Amino acid sequence: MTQFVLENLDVRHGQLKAVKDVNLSIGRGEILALVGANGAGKSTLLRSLAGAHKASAGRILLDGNDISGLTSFQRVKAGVSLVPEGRKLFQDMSVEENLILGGIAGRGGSWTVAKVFEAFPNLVKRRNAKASTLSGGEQQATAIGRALMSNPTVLMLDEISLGLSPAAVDLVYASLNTVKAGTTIVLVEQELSRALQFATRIVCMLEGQFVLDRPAKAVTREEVTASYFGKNRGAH
Amino acid sequence: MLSNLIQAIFLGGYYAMMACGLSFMFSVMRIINLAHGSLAILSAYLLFVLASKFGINPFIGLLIIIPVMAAIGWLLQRRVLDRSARSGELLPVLTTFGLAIVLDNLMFQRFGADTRSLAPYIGDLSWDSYTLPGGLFIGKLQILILVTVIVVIGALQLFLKRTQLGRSIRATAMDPDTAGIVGIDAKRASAAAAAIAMATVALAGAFLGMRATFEPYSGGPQLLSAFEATVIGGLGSLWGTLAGGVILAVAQTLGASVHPQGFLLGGHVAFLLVLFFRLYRNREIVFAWLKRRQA
Amino acid sequence: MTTAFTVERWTPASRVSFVVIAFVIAAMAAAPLMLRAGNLDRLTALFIYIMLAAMWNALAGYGGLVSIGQQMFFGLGAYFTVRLADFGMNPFASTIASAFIVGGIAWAVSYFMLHLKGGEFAIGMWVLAELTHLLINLDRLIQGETGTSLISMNGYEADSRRIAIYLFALAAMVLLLGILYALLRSKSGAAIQAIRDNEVAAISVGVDVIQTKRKLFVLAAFGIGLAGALWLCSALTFQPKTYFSVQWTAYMIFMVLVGGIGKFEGAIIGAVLFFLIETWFGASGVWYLIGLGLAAVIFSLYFPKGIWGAIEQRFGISLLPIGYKLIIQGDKK
Repeated sequence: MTQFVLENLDVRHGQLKAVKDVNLSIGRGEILALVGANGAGKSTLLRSLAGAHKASAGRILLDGNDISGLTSFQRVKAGVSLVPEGRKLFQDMSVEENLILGGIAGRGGSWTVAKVFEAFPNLVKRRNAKASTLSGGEQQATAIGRALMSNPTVLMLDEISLGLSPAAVDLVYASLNTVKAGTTIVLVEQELSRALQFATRIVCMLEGQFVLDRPAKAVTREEVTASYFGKNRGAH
Repeated sequence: MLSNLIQAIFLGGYYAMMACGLSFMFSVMRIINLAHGSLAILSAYLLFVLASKFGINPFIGLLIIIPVMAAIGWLLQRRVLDRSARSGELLPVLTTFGLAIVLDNLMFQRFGADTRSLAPYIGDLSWDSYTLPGGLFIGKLQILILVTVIVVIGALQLFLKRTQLGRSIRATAMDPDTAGIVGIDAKRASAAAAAIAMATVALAGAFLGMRATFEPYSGGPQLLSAFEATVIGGLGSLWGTLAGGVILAVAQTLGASVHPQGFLLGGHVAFLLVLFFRLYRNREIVFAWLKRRQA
Repeated sequence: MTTAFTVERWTPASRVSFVVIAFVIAAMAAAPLMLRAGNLDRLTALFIYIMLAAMWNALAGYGGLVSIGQQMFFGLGAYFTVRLADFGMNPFASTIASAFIVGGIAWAVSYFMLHLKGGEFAIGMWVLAELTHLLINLDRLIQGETGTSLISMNGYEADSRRIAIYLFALAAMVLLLGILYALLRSKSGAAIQAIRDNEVAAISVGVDVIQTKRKLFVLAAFGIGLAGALWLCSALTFQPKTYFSVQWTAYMIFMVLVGGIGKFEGAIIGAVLFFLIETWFGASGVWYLIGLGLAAVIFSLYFPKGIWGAIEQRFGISLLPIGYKLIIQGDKK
């Protein structure tokens, strides 16, 4: 059953079109990995889905409802939550404060501060530490936890492995595995192997358009890498 | 001299009351509201009308005026400042300055040039005092003001730290973009902050009217001393604003003891000294600039 | 495949306007032959307003420095004129010398004030203005708020004095606008544009931000000081409260916001508009001030580019050749 639909979406950065006339249908529970070279438009797409960047044309539908006109905080209330690139924690606040703030949309659901600490046990001893003192892995865990606190039906993650050691990334993905049940996930991931491992569907983006859209099990590394550079445009 | 210094502490408390709203708005919205002083004078005039026309005691009047000013703050933020701040940091300075001019002159138009006071309406409180050993007099009103400002600042800190709205306000101040992504209604948080700031302004205006006099153009001087207190105490810190107010008052008192015209001068000099000191402490900036000159 | 292009500084419209400007200045210079005394005084005031608007615009519109304390230099310009005249200097010479002193003070002041940001700088300048006002009051010549007059100016016969001041103001205005124009066309002008658009990027290409801002700060102070001195020559009396009033900044803000912030032509339009409004409504007391304040609020919210900005955008014209125009071969623009 389709949950998240993008229709003819255009997103601009000033004069530049970062996302060009994009169409996408995501089913409930799907885990979609958005890959592509830097500057392809992946982060811009996620941000516009989250409402942080206004689309210049097109529609976004959630469970059949047009959410294109909603602001970012309204989309969180509707169930769309983004873990932004760079984590963007509130630096002067503690881990716990960041988490509590994540629940402000008041959607209700199974996610609580306690449950987040269960999913990310490495945060428990740091619960009162200021966000600015956390390690990269801890910050990422907090940022994901903060997004989960809003009990989203669609969770979006932007470059969660950026700046983290392999061990830390392992930890983050391990925790993600335990929480992903039932949630529709869209993630932007630089590391192709992780993307292929974690996702159920791979979409490759090049210069603002989709050039590959295949189930993760039905595509090879080489095929994805080729589409990174535009070698098989139009192959779906 | 000792009694002058004790008076200075209480005067500092009054400055802090006037300044805490300004400091709060600045730390949350990065806006310096140049209409801050004029809005305090407006509150004083409103209380004056309630007292002189309807016989309502100013303290009771505050129960009406504080919500009124809070509502004005909310509207001001949502309708005016939000829009103005979108165009950059500088435009709100111009907008609020224009607003101050409009307010000052509207009040002049309505109330004329006479100085007014709320003192006649609070009975004995305006002059009643405690006598300390050593013959020192401390006005009851002075104590009330100082106690109020301490309570208000304490309450504000607790509010910011412990409540969800307070956290939203802090988050919006730190990073409005991410605040929205997390689910915070940044516009509502800013409007709430403005409303709170205006509520403190109402109190400050009331206290000004009770301890002294005011006239339509008093807003400017009040804004300046509030700003000086804020900067001396460190922009963004509420308790710092209290300290700043006291330091300002003490500097003014010292200035007055040096020269008959020295009261305000002392305050301005203290303000500039603090600025110098801050720049000196940031001397990496100065040294980097010097290095570039040599290059 | 490269597209052939040329870079031009002058557009047909700007050539025409230069001729018109030269004609207007000549006409203004000849005015004393035709106008009555009262009108000459009013025009002198207009020239001073134009100077004030252009200078505040230079500071805020080009330098990004919004200051609520420029009345400090206005007052100092008048004060030093009185002081120097008291020492026996010719009043006209005092005016000029005073402006240079004010510029020097601004240069010194800039060393710490320019490190302040945004709103802090704005109010910081106001505090400095108040401080200056208080210090001036201490001068025994001024006698606190009672003030004094430019007595030596009285030594000249009224009519020729009026004409002399008129021509002096006209010359000062043209000179100031000329300096500003030259500055904007020079390398500093490009630096100013760069800082205005993106300060961090400007630093990265080697623009010395603080030096550029300092130049504008000093020029603005010099110009405003000169304006204050000229106002004194015209009005003769010096009461600190009048010259150091924040009202002057209110006028400057109005002129620049309404005319068009950051636009050379805008400051002039704003000054002329202000002059007209003052002529017609000045007698309405505070309603006039309320109107000014309201206009400032409305323009800052809804028409931040001002009148000239709107005209420029709508019709794409630019009268003064400050920018560069890229003409692509084959393009008829």
